[in-house]
Amino acid sequence: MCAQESTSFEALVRRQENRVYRTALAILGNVEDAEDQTQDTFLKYLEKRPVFQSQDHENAWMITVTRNGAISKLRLKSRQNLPLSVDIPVPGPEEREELEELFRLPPEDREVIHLFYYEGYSAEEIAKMTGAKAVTVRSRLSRARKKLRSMLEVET
Amino acid sequence: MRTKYQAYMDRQTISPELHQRLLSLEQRQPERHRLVEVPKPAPVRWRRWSALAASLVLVVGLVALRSFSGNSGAMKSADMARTMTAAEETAAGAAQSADMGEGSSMEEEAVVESADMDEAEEMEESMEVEAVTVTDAPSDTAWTEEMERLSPYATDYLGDSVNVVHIAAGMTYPDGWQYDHVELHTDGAPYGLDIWLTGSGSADLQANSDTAFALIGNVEVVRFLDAADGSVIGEYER
Repeated sequence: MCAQESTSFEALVRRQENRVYRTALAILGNVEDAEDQTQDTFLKYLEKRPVFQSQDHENAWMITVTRNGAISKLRLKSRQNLPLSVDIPVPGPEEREELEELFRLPPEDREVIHLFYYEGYSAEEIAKMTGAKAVTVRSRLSRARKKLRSMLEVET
Repeated sequence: MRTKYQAYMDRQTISPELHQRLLSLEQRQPERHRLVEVPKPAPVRWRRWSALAASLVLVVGLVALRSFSGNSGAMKSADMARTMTAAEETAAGAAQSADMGEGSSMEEEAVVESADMDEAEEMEESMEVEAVTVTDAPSDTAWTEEMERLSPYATDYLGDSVNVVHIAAGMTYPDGWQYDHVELHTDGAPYGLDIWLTGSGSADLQANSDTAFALIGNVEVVRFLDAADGSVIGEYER
């Protein structure tokens, strides 16, 4: 591996590590699995070595690979009848209640919430990334807003 | 202004240890992530050789048939056609064709009328054509049937997930293996289809990959993975 390639991978890691980790945490709901998936995502990058046309393309690729891997992990755990552990870092009791409400939502809902409210994708873009219909994405967002109103409203 | 959700996620960052592990990925691949390199199966040449053997036996049988001029052609030819059809459907194609010899011995007892000769020769010609085409081992026939069954879902694009899932889920897998789910890799070339299976035992998935390549226009790599541990059972390129 030449120095230039190594530098560019390092730069990619620095650019994307938190985005990937946060996406994985949102879907998987626990730190250990999120760290595993983060590693898997970068391994997938090293395996595929995709060429990105833009920064948006790079962001979308990393997120899509992360969510696909996270969903696969959840399916595997489900088939193995393993409990889906939720172990999220929470600083205070007031935040804990809201976050527990968030993480009680199905992973598919949490995924949509994260992509919409944190990454800023539209419902149509999310539909394309996840393979769901846009109407399904919108209904998940609507349901999430009702349950998590205070968490998803802009703070004043 | 940020929502509470955004503020919470802003605070979630990877640990320094994970950061270092990510940087070191280029130099090494952790053992559990190493993909099992499954060598491509050798091309199945035996089908061609068995087809050639079957053809030779049939030709020999036909020559023997001709030598017993005086067979009541149409009836015996029909028997021989049925024998050849059986040869198409069983693994012992060549052995079945060799049974032509028995048909020939039956013809020794037959009384042939000259009026039937033309018809017999016509049947023999058609059987010769069939002899040339009696090359299929039984798995080819099963594969053809599966192709016909799944062909309504044929699509040009791997991204056509509905039809791709129909194809992958509808395939017949080797004993001990069942379809679980698929993953579509359409981010860029090479376009790949991962078919996850549950089960155990050895598995020759060449026919399944052939089906995928035939029915999904732009898929370039098909992998079969064990859903239990993510290991690669087989990997095939177009």
